[in-house]
Amino acid sequence: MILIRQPAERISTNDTNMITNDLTLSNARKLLDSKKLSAAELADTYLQEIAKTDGNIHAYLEVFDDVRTQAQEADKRIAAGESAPLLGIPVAMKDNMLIAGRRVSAASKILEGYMGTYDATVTTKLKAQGAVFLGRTNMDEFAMGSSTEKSAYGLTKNPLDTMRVPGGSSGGSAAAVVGNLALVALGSDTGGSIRQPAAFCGIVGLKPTYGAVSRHGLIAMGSSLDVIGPLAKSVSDAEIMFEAIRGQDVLDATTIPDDRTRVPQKDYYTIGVPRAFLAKGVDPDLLAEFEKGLDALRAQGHTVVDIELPTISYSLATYYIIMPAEVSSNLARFDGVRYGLHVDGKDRTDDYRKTRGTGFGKEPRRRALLGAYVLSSGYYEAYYGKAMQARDRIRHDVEKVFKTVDAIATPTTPSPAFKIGEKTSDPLSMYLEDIFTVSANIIGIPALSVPHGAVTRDGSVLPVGFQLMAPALGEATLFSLGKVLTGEAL
Amino acid sequence: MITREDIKKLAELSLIDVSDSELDTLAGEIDPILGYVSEVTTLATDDASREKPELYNVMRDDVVTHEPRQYTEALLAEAPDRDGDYLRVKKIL
Repeated sequence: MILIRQPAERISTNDTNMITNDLTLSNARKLLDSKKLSAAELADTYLQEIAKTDGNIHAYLEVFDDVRTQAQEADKRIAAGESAPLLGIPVAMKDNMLIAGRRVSAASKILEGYMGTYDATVTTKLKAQGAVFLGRTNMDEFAMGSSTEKSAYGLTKNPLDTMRVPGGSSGGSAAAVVGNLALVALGSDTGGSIRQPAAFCGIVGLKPTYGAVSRHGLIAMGSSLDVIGPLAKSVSDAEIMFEAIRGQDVLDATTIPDDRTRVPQKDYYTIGVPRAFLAKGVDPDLLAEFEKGLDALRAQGHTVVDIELPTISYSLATYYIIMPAEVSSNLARFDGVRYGLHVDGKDRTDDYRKTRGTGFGKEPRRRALLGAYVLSSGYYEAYYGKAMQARDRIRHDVEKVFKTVDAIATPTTPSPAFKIGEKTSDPLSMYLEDIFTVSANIIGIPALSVPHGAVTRDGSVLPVGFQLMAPALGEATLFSLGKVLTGEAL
Repeated sequence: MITREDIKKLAELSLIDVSDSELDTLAGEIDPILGYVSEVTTLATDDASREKPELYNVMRDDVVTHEPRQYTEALLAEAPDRDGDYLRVKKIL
């Protein structure tokens, strides 16, 4: 398993190869603050690891050329007596978050060569703490996909089995963390893009409450669904990262005011399982692992109950109307005039058509057209209108359930990591990957995927993700229960 | 049933150049997706029972928040074609 933690005293700075394997954020913090390890040494270790293995994995689209300089800056701050949770910590950024003066492309040809003109709010927060940006990670183009096979710059392999996908769309970030190519990473989650790759790679992924983390400087996909969150080796690491990036932001009007009360921690929780929702379409072995997860929670004194939540099964259909509608609107800004790719046509309108026709890959085109369809006159009420009603209904029903339970548990995905190429020819089968993850985005509630158990497929041991959802601002509930499942809460 | 002609019209509306062969592929892919998502229509919704989610306005004073030209060069540097502080495009009228 990935989540083995090593006591700090056993890590020797003379043996840097040992460092990355089981190092967590809090261990690294201790080593850095006690000067047993410098940020430069730590960064070098990751750079060496990247040089060794990322040629095959392709977690990164770009490794920054000033990593060592950034780390030396962090060392100066540490030497001056400063300490912050992320000071000197090597972080990987998904290629859809802006860092001023660095390339960012959302893994699309339409943004080839584009340089971030400002810092995303998450970037500003990480910089303030002195985090070291290792590079930008691969993703499905515009975060549209569940396998990282749909990047315009080549696919990413799952480090646990290189014949398989790492999941997506934050597949590069997940591969970087599990492959010891970064200590921690940021991703974005619109319908499961943090949790599903975390599940496929056997790591922890948090989709925070909608609005808990600023979207300023995140290249938009579905603006009412998008949220930035961490991919990490442990729940504690994800928690540290979340606390570092969260907060109200004047540059994102949808961020939640800081004075809103967060759900407080409890000793014992009640966890609801929507049995009917899990009755079909889930790999039986994976379901058995899920049951063991429930047992582990019961063993620590938590209560597991069955819940009725019939409308939740409509989440995926609802999502695949609302999301493309928002995509068609968000992708309208790529015009070949202000930034990014420009392809010349015979007149101005033809410039747009050719630029967008050349710059957008298959999945963004498909979704933009689908979105235009569900928003078009004559179909708007039948699709978008109905989906918005369904969204209200699902939200209402889930909120009602949260009056009786503290969290809802499901597997993160219906099956373990699939093989590269297995689902590329059938978009609908790829969309079904999101069946358990989209509800949290539809409702705007937080959800966490933690690794719990494994299944064997064709001789490969593949991790299984256990998903927990909580009411809005209930991240503390997720961390408490997640730590039980990973064995961190002992 | 979504047709090739429907796709052509959507591509035109979306200002995305789509090749003739791709029109058929897209029609073949989008049709089953629409079939799948149509299940939302079976979720009977009583409009009167709709609850508004918690929403609030975000206001700020109408003041200039940055120095003149603070971001001008950084933003214009990304333009594919410019003339001084202007973006250059083909004839509009």
